[in-house]
Amino acid sequence: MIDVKVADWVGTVQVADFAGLSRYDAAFAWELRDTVVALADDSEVKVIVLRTDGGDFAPDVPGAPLPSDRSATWRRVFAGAKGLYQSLAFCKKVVVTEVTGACRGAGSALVLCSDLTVAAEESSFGSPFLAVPESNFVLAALTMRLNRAKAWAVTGDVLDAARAEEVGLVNQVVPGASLRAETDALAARVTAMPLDGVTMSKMLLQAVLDAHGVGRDFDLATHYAARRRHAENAGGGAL
Amino acid sequence: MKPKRWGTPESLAAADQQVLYDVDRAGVAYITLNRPEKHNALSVPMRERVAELVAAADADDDVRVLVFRGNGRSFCSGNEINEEWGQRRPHERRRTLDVGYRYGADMAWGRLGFSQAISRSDKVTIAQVHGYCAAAAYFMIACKCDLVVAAADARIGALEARFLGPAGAVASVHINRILGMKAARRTGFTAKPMSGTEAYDLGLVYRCAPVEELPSVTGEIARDIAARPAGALDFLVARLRAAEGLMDTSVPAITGLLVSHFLQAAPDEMDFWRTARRVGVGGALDADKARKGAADPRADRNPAS
Repeated sequence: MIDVKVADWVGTVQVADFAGLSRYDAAFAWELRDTVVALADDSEVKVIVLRTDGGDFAPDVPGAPLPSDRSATWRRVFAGAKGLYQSLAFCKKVVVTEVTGACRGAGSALVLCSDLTVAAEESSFGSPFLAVPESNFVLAALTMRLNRAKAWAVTGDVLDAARAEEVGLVNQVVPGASLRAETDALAARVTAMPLDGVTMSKMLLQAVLDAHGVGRDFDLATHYAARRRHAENAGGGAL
Repeated sequence: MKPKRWGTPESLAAADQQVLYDVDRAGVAYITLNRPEKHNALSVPMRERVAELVAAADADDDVRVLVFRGNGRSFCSGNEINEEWGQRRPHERRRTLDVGYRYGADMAWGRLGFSQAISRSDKVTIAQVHGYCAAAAYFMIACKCDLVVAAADARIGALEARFLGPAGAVASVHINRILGMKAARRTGFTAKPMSGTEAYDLGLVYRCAPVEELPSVTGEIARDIAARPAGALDFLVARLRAAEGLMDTSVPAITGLLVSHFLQAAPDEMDFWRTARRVGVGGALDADKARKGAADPRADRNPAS
């Protein structure tokens, strides 16, 4: 269930957790995507906050089904230009992720697609690139720098909140008890910007991201999924 | 008909012993530079051999991770200065167009070259860096590897910028993506090396260790990665290589190389070359400290960081 609130220029999207995206729950993902697009189109919204009820942001989902590059639903909902991740990465409003607990798989893909991230001290971040072929490595390289993003992918390291802040994946780490208040304060600061200024900045940012290869990496998601399926078939089981 | 092998009879004959190769039972292959008397400076045949060994590792399904390391006091000081390519007409300048093209291909745009053999490897690549990691070793090996494990007191950077110009270090896409633009410019425009610790802070280095622990720390990291499911590594490496291609980070900028060939030294700068001819480049760098306003790449040997 997705709970949506709009107040004081902030659209808040609250769910139990985002693990449904790692399970490739298409209905959940499409509803989330529609919610983001609707909030972005709302002239009373400058900031979109993605938060959970307070548990893990996106716990690990062992044995999650593979996305198939042949699946029209996966391409439309998850990997496509109008799908969830690109709707977030190229959103015309500022997107803030509020992370508590475990952030794995699709959760980290969401963090990479968002503009700002506030994390609780006990939160931790796993690389999305093995489990989520539609996640965007170029965004990771731009966010954390190239070698850190590569190491995150190939070592399987889970970054604690402090390290995530050091490498630039997270803007701010705060005690869990004050997470919500800190996120709201950050969102409130962004709402002090003029609406057209926010929208214009995001429009310009889209061109910058595309110049760096973000859009092209999204466009290759189908190939990445096919390559992943090939690796899994060759290895005789789940990766 | 076989491709020409550049180099002198001596350098060609020595290359097999100057670049060693072995694979352990964990699936980790080691390419070891073994020319310690020259800080593992790379001759033309050594670079050729590196490219051939990367191809051998790529073709070996038992190899999961490829580690580059050096014997002796340094990882590698870069390409040999004034290297002899063995061109047939001795009256010609050191670099004929034939040689220049091949050198450029090695260093920059060429898909036959050793740096792109590393950046396009099918395996996870790790540079184990100690002592000096300078010039081509910095931007064509360390910066091309997926992970760098460095001794805390390693000296890493574009030390060649003092005499070949800073363009390669400043303008290369991959270095800017790894270090950030300000740090990339600082390493190029000052030729001041980074310590392993500083390179960790800037994002080049994955893990720092005291030099005496470096082999064991690197080995542990390599074995941990090699123990991941083969299919997962296979997919992740393919995934990263594709994205690096999109970002143009697999192909270093050619600018630096070209610019270095058009450098014309001013009279006082020629002192550097005269000194270098007499006492070698290291001695010239030392003597250069006395020159007013000159950057000193060897200063600050033990920064607090």
